[in-house]
Amino acid sequence: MNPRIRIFVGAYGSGKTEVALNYTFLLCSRGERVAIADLDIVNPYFRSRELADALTSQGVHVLAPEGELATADLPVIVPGVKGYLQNPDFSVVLDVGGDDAGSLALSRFAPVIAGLDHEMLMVVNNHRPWTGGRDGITAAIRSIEKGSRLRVSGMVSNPNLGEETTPDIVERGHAVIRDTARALNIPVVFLSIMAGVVDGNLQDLPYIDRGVEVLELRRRLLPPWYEQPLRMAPQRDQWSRIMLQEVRDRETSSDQIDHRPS
Amino acid sequence: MEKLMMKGSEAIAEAAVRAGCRLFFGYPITPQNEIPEYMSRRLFEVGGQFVQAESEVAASNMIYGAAAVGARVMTSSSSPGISLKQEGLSYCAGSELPVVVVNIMRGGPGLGGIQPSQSDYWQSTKPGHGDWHPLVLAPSTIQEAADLVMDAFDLADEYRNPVMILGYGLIGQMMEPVAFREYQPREFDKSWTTCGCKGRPPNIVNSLYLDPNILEEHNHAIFQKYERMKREEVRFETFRMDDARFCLAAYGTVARICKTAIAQLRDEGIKVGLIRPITLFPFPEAVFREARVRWILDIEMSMGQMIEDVRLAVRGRTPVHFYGRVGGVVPTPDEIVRKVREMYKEGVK
Repeated sequence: MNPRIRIFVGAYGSGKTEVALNYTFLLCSRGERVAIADLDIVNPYFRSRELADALTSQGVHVLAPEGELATADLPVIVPGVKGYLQNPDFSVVLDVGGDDAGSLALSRFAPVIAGLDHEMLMVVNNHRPWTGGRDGITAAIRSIEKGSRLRVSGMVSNPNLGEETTPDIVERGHAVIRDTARALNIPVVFLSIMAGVVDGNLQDLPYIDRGVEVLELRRRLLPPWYEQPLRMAPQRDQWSRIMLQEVRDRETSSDQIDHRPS
Repeated sequence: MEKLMMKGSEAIAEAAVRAGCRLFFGYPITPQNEIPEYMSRRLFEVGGQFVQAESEVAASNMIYGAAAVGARVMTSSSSPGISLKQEGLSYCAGSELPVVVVNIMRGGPGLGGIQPSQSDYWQSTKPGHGDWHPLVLAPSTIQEAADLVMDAFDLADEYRNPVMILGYGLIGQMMEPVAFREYQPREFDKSWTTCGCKGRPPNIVNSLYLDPNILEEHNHAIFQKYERMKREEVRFETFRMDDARFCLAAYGTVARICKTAIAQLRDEGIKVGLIRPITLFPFPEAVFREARVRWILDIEMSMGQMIEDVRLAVRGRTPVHFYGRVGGVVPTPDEIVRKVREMYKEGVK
């Protein structure tokens, strides 16, 4: 049975918001009444409030600053979060800002949350700076626990290199994160994998322990050029040529040389 | 080396450290705070120094001091903060000091907003007071940002001139995979620095020239460096220009939006290509001038700033049109497709 309140914390850029959004849509698809609270007071970009319309249309209650304040770099937490936390009719997802600085926003609710059925999950991508191995991940967990005044009770293994994620990156990264979780004596609750990266039935992957649920991610926060997804990084595009222009004595446009040797 | 998933700001900071930058002086402003934050943590690990200055003006004078003693140094800010740094940067240019400055632009004028914008093309390529230019590099991917930062330190030393990395919210905040190349340090003449004069006459690093004739000479010497930049440092990318009848002009990530649009337009049989300036100063004039196209559509997240350089480049031979979004609104590939389709159907010349 899932805990009613799931809190997603993690280092900056670990994938908290993408995981929280995908998890929220998953709960919706199961017919649950869901509220998501955007507690990110640190970073004014790529926050779950950007999906407010899509979430609302699915019946999700979105607790995030609206109007002008939605795009402000002000530490705003809207009223009502506590009410939803205490409302037994709602599953609540908390999308928390990065690092200990972000988790400070959570500490205001710690006394309430501590007495309720909850789980605080640390989202980890081992391909991010500072959290590449056991020491870095452990240090990040401890600082977030200190900031939030709550204990991390499980992990979300989110090993990825964005568009360049391969099955191998997922498997090797997951091993690093799983070993860290074991050393800390906490479970890996989810392994999140971008849709399309690994073929076949994800739940049957040989390296997944019992009890780990695979969360298939659909990226929700995309830059505009992905409107029609381009799989290739633009620099490696076969049509592109990067050049140093030789203006001096240049006669034809074919007289172009390649990118400055590094 | 294994790749990392990095925000642009983090990649810029890490590339600087790998290029030998051990000093960073800055002041917070969104959307570039991750650069000083990363530096405050990372420089500590490598024995460098990080100072959060009391203002942007102070930070730009601190980099002056650091460069004058021969250190590799960087500062970063965003549009209004760059305005404040302009005084110190002009002094750096006048004193011929190698410094690297990162400008993660935001919407303006005034306090504006914090969403992506290219509102500072002018104040970057044609900066504050005095006759001078920084060498301006505009990445369109996080990988390119990391590569260009490493080059920026060498270019600053090569020309003894400020070099600016120009990005905005998207470059600063989004995450992409990055691999850092092995940085190969080059030797530069540092005999002019003020790092102790035992056994030789003292060096003076100054931009004050009271004799007009000497100041004129100094200005000419600085502009000779810019002429050399124009010959040797111009960089750009072309995309599907070989058979193009129409050309889009865009820099930074706007060029990536254009590429998505071009894929769609090509499917419709509209032969459109793209020229993406990578150096904004020196501007890639020749490639625009030599493009045999019916028209150029300049696309920016501004009211039209780079378009002036595109027009100067083509010298009236090719019509140059404009499409822009401002205030932090990022154009979509669809909008660009619609605009080009419209121009194509109306037979715009």
